[in-house]
Amino acid sequence: MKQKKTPDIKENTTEETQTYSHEEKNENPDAFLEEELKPITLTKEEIDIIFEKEMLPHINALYTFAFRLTNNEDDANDLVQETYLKAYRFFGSYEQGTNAKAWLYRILKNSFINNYRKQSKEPNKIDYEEAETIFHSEKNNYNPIDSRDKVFKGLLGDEVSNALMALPLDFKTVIMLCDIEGFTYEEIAKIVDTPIGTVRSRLHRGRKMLKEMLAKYAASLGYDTSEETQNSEQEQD
Amino acid sequence: MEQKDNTKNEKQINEVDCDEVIRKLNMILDGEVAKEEENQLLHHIDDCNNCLEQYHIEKSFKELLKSKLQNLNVSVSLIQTIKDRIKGKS
Repeated sequence: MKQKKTPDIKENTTEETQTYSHEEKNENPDAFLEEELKPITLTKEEIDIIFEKEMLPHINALYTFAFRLTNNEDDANDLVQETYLKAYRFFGSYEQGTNAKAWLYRILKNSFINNYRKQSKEPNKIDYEEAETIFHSEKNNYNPIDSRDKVFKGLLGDEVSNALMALPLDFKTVIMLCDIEGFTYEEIAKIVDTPIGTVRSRLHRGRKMLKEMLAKYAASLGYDTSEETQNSEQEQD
Repeated sequence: MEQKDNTKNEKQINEVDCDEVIRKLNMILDGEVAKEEENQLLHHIDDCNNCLEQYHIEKSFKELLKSKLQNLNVSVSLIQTIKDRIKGKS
């Protein structure tokens, strides 16, 4: 594992969690691409080679992220295509040697938010407030749900995926970035455009919500460890 | 665990309490705690049954997500479309 710095140890429990900041600030979420635009000194051939070598290999991960954000294959395809075309167009703002994947994720996330705004949708606003009320208390960190339970192990990939997708946007985003993609808190903070303390508290709350959802879901399917007759689905996967 | 400076380390270990460990469990698992502090926290965890249990619970949840949430495969036609559109640009 990479050695990482600890940017901020203090637990930030009083901070206000935010929605994606661009939703509130009404600014161009792709501004960072233009602002950081530098003159390109490479030839098209050189750019194409770097692009194919450093950008395209992340396409499955990006598509998966896009699908879990949109819950729709066509939208996910559009989002991935838009991301790559923007990345190519603004290639000059990509600093070579930095994390290409994080850069692509940032473009994709901003495109997603931008598209939502165009459709005047407010993703998960109600969910979000509700979740905030329920999960406001951070004091009790001892979680009663034991995720080592075979109930959890018996869940299928699709079931976990559906539960994840049902989480409010801000929470599922950081969980995907951290637990699936392994980005550092610092990289996540940059991708979702929030302070690191917010990333940490969203991860904490998001995981707690997801755990509770999965426990409930597993129980509703009869994945109950107290019963000897287990659902045969558990044996798969 | 190596202890080059015993006095210092013992003091630091004593300063670590369960609340702090529990609060930082996920940061440890996410690799977000500096090595020296991580060693102190893990030392406490080794010696504390409750913290050790919580540590394993959190660890297994993280592993569960990683193992169940596999990446999907994008369609070949999308990759081709992107390549074609990029080629067309000058």
